[in-house]
Amino acid sequence: METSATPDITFFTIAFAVYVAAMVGFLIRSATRKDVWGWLGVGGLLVGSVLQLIALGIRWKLSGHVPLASMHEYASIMSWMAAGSLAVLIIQTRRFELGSYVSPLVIAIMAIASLLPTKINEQLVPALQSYWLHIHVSMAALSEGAFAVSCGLAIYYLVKERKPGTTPAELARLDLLNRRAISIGYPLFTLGALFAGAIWAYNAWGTFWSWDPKEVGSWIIWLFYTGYLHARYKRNWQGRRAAILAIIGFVMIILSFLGNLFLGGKHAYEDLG
Amino acid sequence: MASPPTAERSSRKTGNPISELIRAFYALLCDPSFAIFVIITLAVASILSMVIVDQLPFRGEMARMRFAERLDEPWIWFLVNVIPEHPYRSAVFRTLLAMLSLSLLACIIKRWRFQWGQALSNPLPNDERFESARTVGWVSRTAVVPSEIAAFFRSRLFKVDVESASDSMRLAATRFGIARVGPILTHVGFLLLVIGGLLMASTGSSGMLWMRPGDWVEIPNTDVRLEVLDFEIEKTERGQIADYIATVQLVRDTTVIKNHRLEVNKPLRYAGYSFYQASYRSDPTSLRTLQLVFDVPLDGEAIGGSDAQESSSTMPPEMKEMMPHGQKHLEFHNPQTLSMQPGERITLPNTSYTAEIDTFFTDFRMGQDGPAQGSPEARNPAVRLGIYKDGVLLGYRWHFLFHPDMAIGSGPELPIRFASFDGVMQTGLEMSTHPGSAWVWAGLAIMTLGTLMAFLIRHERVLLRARRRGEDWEIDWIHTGTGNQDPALVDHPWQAAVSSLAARFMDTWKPEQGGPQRWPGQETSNSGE
Repeated sequence: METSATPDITFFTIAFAVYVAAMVGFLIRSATRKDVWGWLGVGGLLVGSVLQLIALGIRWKLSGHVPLASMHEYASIMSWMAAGSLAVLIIQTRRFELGSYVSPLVIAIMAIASLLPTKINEQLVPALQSYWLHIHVSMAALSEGAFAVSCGLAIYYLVKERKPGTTPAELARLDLLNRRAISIGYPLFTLGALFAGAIWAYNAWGTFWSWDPKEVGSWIIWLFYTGYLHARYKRNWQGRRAAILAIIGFVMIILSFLGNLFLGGKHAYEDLG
Repeated sequence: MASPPTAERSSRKTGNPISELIRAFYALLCDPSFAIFVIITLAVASILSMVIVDQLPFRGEMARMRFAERLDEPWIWFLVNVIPEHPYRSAVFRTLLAMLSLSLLACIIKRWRFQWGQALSNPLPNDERFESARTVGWVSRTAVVPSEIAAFFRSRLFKVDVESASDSMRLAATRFGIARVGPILTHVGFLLLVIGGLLMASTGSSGMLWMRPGDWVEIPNTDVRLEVLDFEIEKTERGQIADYIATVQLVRDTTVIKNHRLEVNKPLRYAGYSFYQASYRSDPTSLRTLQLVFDVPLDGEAIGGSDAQESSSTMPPEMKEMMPHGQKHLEFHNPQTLSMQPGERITLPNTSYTAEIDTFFTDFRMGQDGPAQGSPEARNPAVRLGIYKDGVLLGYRWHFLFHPDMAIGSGPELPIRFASFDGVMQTGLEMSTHPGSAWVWAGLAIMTLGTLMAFLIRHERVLLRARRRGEDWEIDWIHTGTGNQDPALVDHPWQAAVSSLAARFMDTWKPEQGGPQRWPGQETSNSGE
């Protein structure tokens, strides 16, 4: 079924537009220092998140299964997590300027999602017909959304660090927020992307681990963030170094995600036609 | 950690070089920098292995066989002798995993006692502790009653130790110390995972069983056999595959000990063996039924021209074999579907012809020796029918499922189209053993527990000292293991330097002058203010 005209894509597109408007709001707030623009940005993120949820709900209804079976759906969940986390973060910290740096990443993930095939698979292939799909894919997407937020915070840190007048306390706070984003993403990724995936693979394919390209990508990402945590806690890599690592980590996530398009393997369920 | 005296170190060096070497190796394994180095190297090795697998389909022994005549070329030599056939099972990769395991083990040994000590101990602070830059100090008019302060912490799930006198008290409070064990458990769990993974890769086995309903296989080292009773492919209305299911049973002698529906996500496990519904295929040697559409002639209508041999007798034999079907583009006026099975000869209605399946291919290919089976897949299903008249074989013609207007062969040109077929489907069951799976399960469980403890639970500790100064009380407070309040959300810099718990404590034991006199980063904050 070609779904370009289905309601879920309409809601997705509107959500995309609302996120772009939110980003514009944050940019105007950065330029004018008027908080009302920041609040409009936060409102945009929240409205966009709700619209995206509606889109995913419609998709669930139309397909008859949880919308976690295609790259479009995965990227959509990832961007939803990033947008929602950003909104909560800004509401908690009142730091509207975060929106100027993290919301472009939300837009970028949405753009990737919109470029991927939006076809609804009405029938899941037998391997995907498992409750592990809910656990494994949702946790992996949510964790990567958290890593996206950490990447945006890291970019902001690097920019802020070069700005005259920035106090060490401000930088320390940003560093702390970055650490917290990774502290949310890492356990979600470990338990969801790796462990739940391994248990599912053991039930479906007869092996916990088969060095499939997607598995290798996840393994490398996990090793990287494990190294990040060790560097941070055992070698006191904080501030700029930690920020650079967070950015590299998210670039690896995007590469691993897009790797599905050209590496194939057992996780390549997407028909790009 | 304090270094041992130099003299002692040197005597160890000279006394027992082997133990010194072991000690140095142990120190290297314990070093977080070494762990980070191994992690980075493993990541790079994983990327290289992925590239090798993706880009070099022939490597190692496969390359030796594939390029047997070009072994003297440098690139081929490189492919055969340097590139591993199974990169993730290569000695280099396993060595890296072994190094990681040793590093994990050393880290566990080194950190275990310390982390447990951190988790369980709750020593009362001495005065030196409060010289720390993390100390928050203030003066309060509210009387310090040790039992009330202890109750404040106990109500928040802190374990409290108090030492008090009439004009002073010291308190150590700790909660959720068990979180300290989380990182150790993640290391233990990961170590078990790696060991289990290496065991499975080294000693596990896996093989594919292609079975038809009625087939059975003995399970090795047991007196039990696995029988396939039925295999079905469920399809949606649109023809998409919804599921494929093999109904199997385990049988000892003549007693059925277990029935099971083998689905993709529902394996059968027995006696250390696991059976997975991994695949299916049409058995290339078997055909269940075949459907033909035959254009039934009206009474008196002639079909097939004269018999085949005469009708195309003027053509050379090779042309006869490739001649297109005489009914091409002709509409069927009176189509009737006929079903036939291998070995069955059916009468073509309203004619004196009979037909019988001679050969069936799921993937018809024209090879050097004539038609042949290309693959077990149904890429070009074709059937060769033997056509008889009055019991005499007139010839054979090939009919193609995907090319209904084409038929080739020497038999009479009859209005027959190949409509569909039901092959005998085979289920592909993967039978495997997982000798290290217990290690892996234990590793997954322990690492999950450790991860949850490390990231969801936070070990907090509060050290408090109160001393009477006339009517007032001097209070010093250190709170570790928690973040402070966000500077963007507070009115005064000191509020950002203390935890929310400290702020709550100050609700009762209020600071004079509205805030503490001492707090972390005080000078910076003051200058900022």
